[in-house]
Amino acid sequence: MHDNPVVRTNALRFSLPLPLAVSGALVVSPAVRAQNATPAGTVITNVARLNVAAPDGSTAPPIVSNSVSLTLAQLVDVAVTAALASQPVVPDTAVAVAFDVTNTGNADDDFALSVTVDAARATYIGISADGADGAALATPAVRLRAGERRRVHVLLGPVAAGDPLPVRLGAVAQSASGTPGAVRPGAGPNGADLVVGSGGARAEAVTLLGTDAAAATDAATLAKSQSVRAPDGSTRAVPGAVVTYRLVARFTAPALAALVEDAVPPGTRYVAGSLSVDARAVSDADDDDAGRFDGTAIHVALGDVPAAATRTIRFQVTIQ
Amino acid sequence: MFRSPFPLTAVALAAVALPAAAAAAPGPLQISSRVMVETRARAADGTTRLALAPARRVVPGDRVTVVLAYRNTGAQPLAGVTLDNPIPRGLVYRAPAPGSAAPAVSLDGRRYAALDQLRVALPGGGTRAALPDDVTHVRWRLDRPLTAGGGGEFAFQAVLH
Repeated sequence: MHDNPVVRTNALRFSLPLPLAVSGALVVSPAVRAQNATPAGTVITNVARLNVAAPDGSTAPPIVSNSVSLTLAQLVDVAVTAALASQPVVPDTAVAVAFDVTNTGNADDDFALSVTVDAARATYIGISADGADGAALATPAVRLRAGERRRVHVLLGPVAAGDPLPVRLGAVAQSASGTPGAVRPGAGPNGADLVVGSGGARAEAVTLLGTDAAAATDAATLAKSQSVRAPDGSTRAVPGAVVTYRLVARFTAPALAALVEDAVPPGTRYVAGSLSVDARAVSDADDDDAGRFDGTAIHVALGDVPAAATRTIRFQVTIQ
Repeated sequence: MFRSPFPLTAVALAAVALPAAAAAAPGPLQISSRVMVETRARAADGTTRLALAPARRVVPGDRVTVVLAYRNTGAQPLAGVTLDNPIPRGLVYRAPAPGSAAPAVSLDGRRYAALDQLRVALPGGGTRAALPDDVTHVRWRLDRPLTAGGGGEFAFQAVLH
């Protein structure tokens, strides 16, 4: 906290390695600020201070102003995005269509989900909040914390061939929705007012399902090439030589949660830290970045990839 | 934090005692703060005017103006007057309000400078220019003694986070 007069708390916090002045600029390591929106019902208090230098140069205790308190109202809103604007499907095959639902308000809320799709072209099965292979929710709704985003999948039966088929997912906040800016006095936490956000606390997104069979089956190709550098500078594959593998994934159609895995060949040892994606290094550990090495194979999660994209993965092994 | 080698207890006690001391001995200097929001008021002639009104209902993303008003109610001029305002949690500093002098800003409550003179240390080494989001305190210093009966206002804009 840096509101009340306990400025010295800040002074202590920053008394670790002393920032140095570099080329006339002050360098400071600021406190990490919360990234999420301030929760509804939070009381924000502002106090100003006046200081007067005493004649002897010392600083007298500051004069403190009145405090002004604002209670943050509950903002209710939601956003829906389609994971893919268009998604290739194989005719007469069941399909899962991914959408992301985000609570863009500042309080927990329930969001009712609804799907619109031409029943003559595809049978609506339900909505999964547990991956493309998950079961359909008994009640089509998700509960999201403030700022939380959840991927849901609309589960459809076999899609009949034909024109691109629109699939719409709608979400409506359950605490309030309707006219943007509408207010329910006192309906939020701690007696705060509740305000409907600029989106009306309802949102919708659409994905077009394309039943062009060729696009669906040849959605991605993976090409692998290698180069060898031996200790003597030659390109002979001798013990001690380093082999650099280059995997190029080409996507002709958009792909969801694309994953590339490649086992290290027998008789070779993976060179620690050699994995990169599009010339950017990724760590071997199973952590936040896209890649990892599990002792036998590299795994790279490329995520959602748009159409006409190329991803290049490199890693190295040493011949034993 | 309490394992700090600093004499934290004494520091904390001193900090707590400050407002009480100030309240017990009201001096000739007065300061008040108010938080305003921009409102659009439609005039009789059909035009829309921007006006500042006291903030009542705020949601994340709202822009507010914090106004500090000060006055010397005594009979003597006062020299070396500064006003400072720690940015409360939930507010993010943006800029001086139109018509107000620009404050010196601080990222730690200790060292104050113009925003473009401040840099932020990055976790992996190196630095970057400080941004309005980094500001934790603002301060105005009166370069001339505040005359008896004199006063004024400073203001800054902030966004509800």
